[in-house]
Parts: sequence; C-alpha cells; structure tokens
Amino acid sequence: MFIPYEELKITVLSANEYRLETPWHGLQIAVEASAATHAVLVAYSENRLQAADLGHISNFLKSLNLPFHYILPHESVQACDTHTLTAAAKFSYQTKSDFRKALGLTASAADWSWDTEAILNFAKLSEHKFSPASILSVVRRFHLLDCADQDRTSDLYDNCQAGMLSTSHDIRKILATIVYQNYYVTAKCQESLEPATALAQSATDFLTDFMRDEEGHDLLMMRAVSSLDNSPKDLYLAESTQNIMRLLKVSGQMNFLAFGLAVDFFEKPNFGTTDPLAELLLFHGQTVAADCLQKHKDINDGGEHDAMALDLLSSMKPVTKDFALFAIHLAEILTDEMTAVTAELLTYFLTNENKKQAL
Amino acid sequence: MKKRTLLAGTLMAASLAHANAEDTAKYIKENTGANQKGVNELCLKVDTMTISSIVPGGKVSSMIFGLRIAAGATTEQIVAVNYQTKQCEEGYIKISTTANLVSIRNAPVGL
Repeated sequence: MFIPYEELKITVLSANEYRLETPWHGLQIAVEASAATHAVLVAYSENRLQAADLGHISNFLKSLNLPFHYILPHESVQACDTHTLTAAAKFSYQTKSDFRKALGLTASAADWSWDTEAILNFAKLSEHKFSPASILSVVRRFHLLDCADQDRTSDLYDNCQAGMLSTSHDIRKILATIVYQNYYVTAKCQESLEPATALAQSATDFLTDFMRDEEGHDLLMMRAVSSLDNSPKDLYLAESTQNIMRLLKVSGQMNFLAFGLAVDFFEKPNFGTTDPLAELLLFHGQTVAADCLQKHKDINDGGEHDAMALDLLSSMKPVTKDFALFAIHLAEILTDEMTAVTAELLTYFLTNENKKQAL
Repeated sequence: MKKRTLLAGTLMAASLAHANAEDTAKYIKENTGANQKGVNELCLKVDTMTISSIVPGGKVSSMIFGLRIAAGATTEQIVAVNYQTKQCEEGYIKISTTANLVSIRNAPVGL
C-alpha cells in the first residue's frame, strides 16, 4: 500500500481533473475515477482525510507511478535472495567523515542529516527485518528534498542564459564543460555497474538488461561535447562528478540495496518534453549538442528506467538493520555529491571569470 | 533533530493502513478465483477497490497488501495489485491525459 509523501499537494480542478504538486514535480491530470475516489481526493485536498480513505489514495498513487508516495513494508513473494554485508563493507564508522574516508572520499565536517531511525521505524517488518522497497520509498523522498533544496542547476543554467558567467567567445567552453560532466558519467557507467553483477542474484537479468540499455550513451555525449570544444579531454571535471561514479561502483561492490538506491537517484525522471540542458544549448544556438542531449533523454524516458530500482530490489528478502543502515548512509553521501555537481561548476566558472576580470 | 525525517502523523497513517492491508489481504485470499475475466486476467473486487492479478504463468509484477502466498500456490492464487490494467470495473483509476508536467532541474548526470 502507498502512503502519500507529506509534501504532496492535490488541487481538485474539476470532477475529473487534478493538479498534483511536490517540490520536485508538478503535473495536471485528467482521470476516470469513481465517485468514491473523487470524494477522497477532495477530502485530501481539503486536509480532512480519514484512515479509511487511505485505500483510495493508495490506488490513485499506484496508478500514477510517480515519486509521490511511501511504500508500506511488505514481504514480496518474489523475494528469494538473502543479502548480507560483504567483507569490504564491514568497517567501523561513527561520523559521516569516517564513512566518506572509508569509501575513498575526502573528509567532511558535516554530520548525518537523514533520520535513519525514522526510516527504519517506517520500514520495519519485525525486530530484525526491514523492507527494502519501504526503505527506497523514504530515502527517495529525502533525496528529492535535498535536490530541491541544494541543487544549483537552475542557478547555473540561468546564469549561462543571462551571460553572467562568460563573455560571448567562451560560452561554448562553458557549455562543453557542463555536457562533459554527463559524458564522464555515461563513459564510466558500464565499469561502475559491472561489480553489482556479483551481488545481484535473482536480479541479474534486470541488471544485465539495464547495462545493455546503457551501452553507447557515452558516444552520444562525446558527440555533443566535441561539437562544442576541440579538446574535450582538457575540460574541467568536477570532483563531485568523479565521486558519484566512484560511489555507484562502490555500492555495487558492497551492498545491493545501496546500489538499488543509487540507481534510483541516477534514473530519477525529468518530466517535460525537453531536456533542460538541451534547451540551454538551443538557446545558445548549439543544435548538434542539443539534439544529442534530447536524444539521450528520449532514450532514457523510453526505457522507463525510473522503475529500475524497484525491479532490482524486488527479489531481495527483508534485510537486517546493519545492512539497511549502511545503504542509507551511502545514499546520503551520494546525494551530497550529486547535489554538489552544479554548485562546483558554478564556483569554478565564477572563479575563472573573476580571475579574467581582475586581469 | 535531523534535517530530514518523517512526520509522526505519517508513521501513524502507515500503521493504520498496514492494519487495513492485512484485512484486505485476508479477503483477497479467501476470494481468489472469483470473477475471472478472460484467459489472461483475473480481477477481484474488494470493497470499492479493484485488484487485478498477474497473467497465469506470468511473473508477479508487484506484491502489496502484505499477502502471503503458500508454497506451491498456482499463479491464479497469486494476486498482485496492478491498476495499470484497464479492464477492471468499478473503482479503478485510469489516467487519460497528463499536462503541464514539470520537474526541477537536476544536475546533468543521467546514465
């Protein structure tokens, strides 16, 4: 059963039209719903939902298949795989900094910010059993909230569009640098996914299909970069961009739940018909690169990879507390790094621009 | 207090819903096989909710409501929730159109 996220706001527009909003997605839908379901949606929109209405809300959210809801803990009949911490994941840590260093990242003064106790309480089936799908549903919300709060992509693109980061002659270099981050991710994709095949067990078919779907995306990205810059290998690569691929690989080596969560973050859907970076490239007249980015979005949308994480976890039996905690902590660090990518680029561009102006 | 947490009300709602789900699962289990629609589809109506099953011989696509399946159960006895199916009767929700889909801009790091 599905429970709506606290942030989900529903506005009833008419007898069969609704607007749904969260800080990360918004959409308007026309649906054929029963009178009873409509009444419950009205009740939800007026903040007077009763416990007995949850079944209707759950059905409604299920039909949408969007990241708007928690998943109640349950044991899937497909769940036949027992997962335990691998030897490489059995290291002791207290702080976020300890954990980062153990994974080969730099130390950090920040403390853990996700309430792991609340996640585990929600996903608990019994004292020693926690539902992987429930954990995914809570972690997904925390990740999306962090993206909505911390990601600087809009600032970066708006600054590019307004010409704040460059004089006109080097905008292509800036755009190339942004696209180069995506090239790096796609180029490292196969080697970062491959270690998880050793842990996948019954999810092996899902994983190998997924890996096959991802083949060749780096060629598309390199075509985009090359159309913008003659020496792509010299372009700036953010440390966070490198770190997210390191973390994807490490998750697949150490903990298959962490790997599933990571895949969910990389594959989160981007609604709308056009890719935001493709729009920016088009604004600056870079049609070849824009076409490549748009094609990449279309391929990913067509593959429906936003549901991949649940498929990968569908055969996982309930996990232990230690196993779940490791996955949640790795997911928090991956979120930190993912939301830092465009902030790091923005800092790099502004610093370079400042240097240039000082000269 | 951590920056990211769940509201106490959410945990309460989850707890209530889970109790209802157990009752629902019991109902489904006792009524499996009812209202079979065609060769490839089994639809069960539970109160105002319509639940469709997997195709016989196919794979379970999702398993919700805490339903436990006994070893050796036939596929017809395995009931999964799948509201994507358009042929169920009262209670189903069919999305006919979507518009104004918008998302926040995220870092260009898609696989």
